[in-house]
Amino acid sequence: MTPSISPHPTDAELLAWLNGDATHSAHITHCPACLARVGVLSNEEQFLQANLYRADCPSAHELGEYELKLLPAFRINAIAAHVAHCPRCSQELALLRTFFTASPLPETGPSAAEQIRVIIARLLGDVRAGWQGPGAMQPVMAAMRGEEHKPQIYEAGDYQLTIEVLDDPINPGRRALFGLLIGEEAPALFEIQLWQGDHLVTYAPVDEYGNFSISDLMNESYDLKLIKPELEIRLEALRL
Amino acid sequence: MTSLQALAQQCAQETHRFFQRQAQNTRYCLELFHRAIVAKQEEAWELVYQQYEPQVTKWVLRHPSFPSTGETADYFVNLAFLRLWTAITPAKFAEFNDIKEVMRYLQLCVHSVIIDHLRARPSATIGFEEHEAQRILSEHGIRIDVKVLNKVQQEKLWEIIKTRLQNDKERFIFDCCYKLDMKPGEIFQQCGDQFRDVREIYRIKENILARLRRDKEIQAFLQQNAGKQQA
Ligand SMILES: [Zn+2]
Ligand SMILES: [Zn+2]
Repeated sequence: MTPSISPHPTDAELLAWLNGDATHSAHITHCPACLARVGVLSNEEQFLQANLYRADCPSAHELGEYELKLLPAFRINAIAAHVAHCPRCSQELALLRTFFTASPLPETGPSAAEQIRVIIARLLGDVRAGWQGPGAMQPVMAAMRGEEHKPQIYEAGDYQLTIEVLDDPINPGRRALFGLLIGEEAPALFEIQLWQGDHLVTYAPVDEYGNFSISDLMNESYDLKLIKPELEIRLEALRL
Repeated sequence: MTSLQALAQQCAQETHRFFQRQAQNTRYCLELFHRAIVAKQEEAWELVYQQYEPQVTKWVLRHPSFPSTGETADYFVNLAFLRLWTAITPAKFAEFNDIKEVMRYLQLCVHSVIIDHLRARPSATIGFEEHEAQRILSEHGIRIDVKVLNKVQQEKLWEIIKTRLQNDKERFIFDCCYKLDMKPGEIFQQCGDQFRDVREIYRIKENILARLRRDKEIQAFLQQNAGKQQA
């Protein structure tokens, strides 16, 4: 072994060898001094890389939220500026797009809202004619009964809907809703749903006779929907 | 049957129809996610996991970088759900109009946990190979012990190094080599007009390393942090 025939390569040349350049390979691989020096350089490089790699880059997740347009404007601008000059982030974004393309998601199609015919239910009155809601004479009675509403009848196209709200016998302090849908040959196709804003609070089936009930409800206002394929009967702001 | 279980059943049907590409409403699934993510109902979360675990597994297996991670699919499936759980805020959830958007976000979680895993091992990043040189060094008994500092120490280190880089070329080369794991050949390919040849890039690296090696503050910094290694 005669490593000293050629002079020792410079650190720059050793770094090149470390990165796969074979120019000084014959010397370096036989020279313990150079191999030791390469060890020092490699240690230093890997230390810097291990501790500073991607230090300025947004996280992969934030980069993805940027792609999905879920970020606030100030982050969108910052990330767009970063991606424009960062090859790693550009690569990751390209990879994400490839992944999305390779794992396509079905279109959810025309939304149900577009296909469904909506009928708004109209109050006809309560079952016992003449009752107009809790009046001046009734607050004491109403309190004793838990402010029960009498059955109310609604009309919705060819359908008729009767709704009654009572104190929930099982859950103290909660309300229970009972209803009957008339005018449908197969009422079990319907489902009753209670909504608050965009939030579906609860739902229940309608039975073959058109009866439905939901218990354990808060004393609040709900939008009631009776839904079957392609038809929705809606009763808005039903106060329990 | 509790209302939540009924909801999960409806959601299962909806999901099946969704992936069968049958146009339909996905309100039950959205509601199940709402209860899991916004209302933080643990039982709803378990149902979400049960419902979507097979689909998430498929996505992990299909991710272009999954093979280079050397991990099992299960490992990333768990991490992806954990990511969904921690990353999606009620405000973000409110942006989703249908289940497709939730599924997209779940796909993003799959992607980001896989990329995080690869980022933690720079030598395994996209397109980079292990070096032959490393193999020769280890054959000669030369060990490379890489010290990984904690986040705060890393930031301090960078603050010091920043002040030691002397010009734009050095800053550029430092960023490319150590923050982006680019090899000088790759830098020269992309920004050849800024350098005479690739050797100039190696000389700049040599100068930077020599300066940092002589720097008492950086050496002291390394000494005082000795023994606080991670991984
Ligand atoms: Zn030598
Ligand atoms: Zn970046």
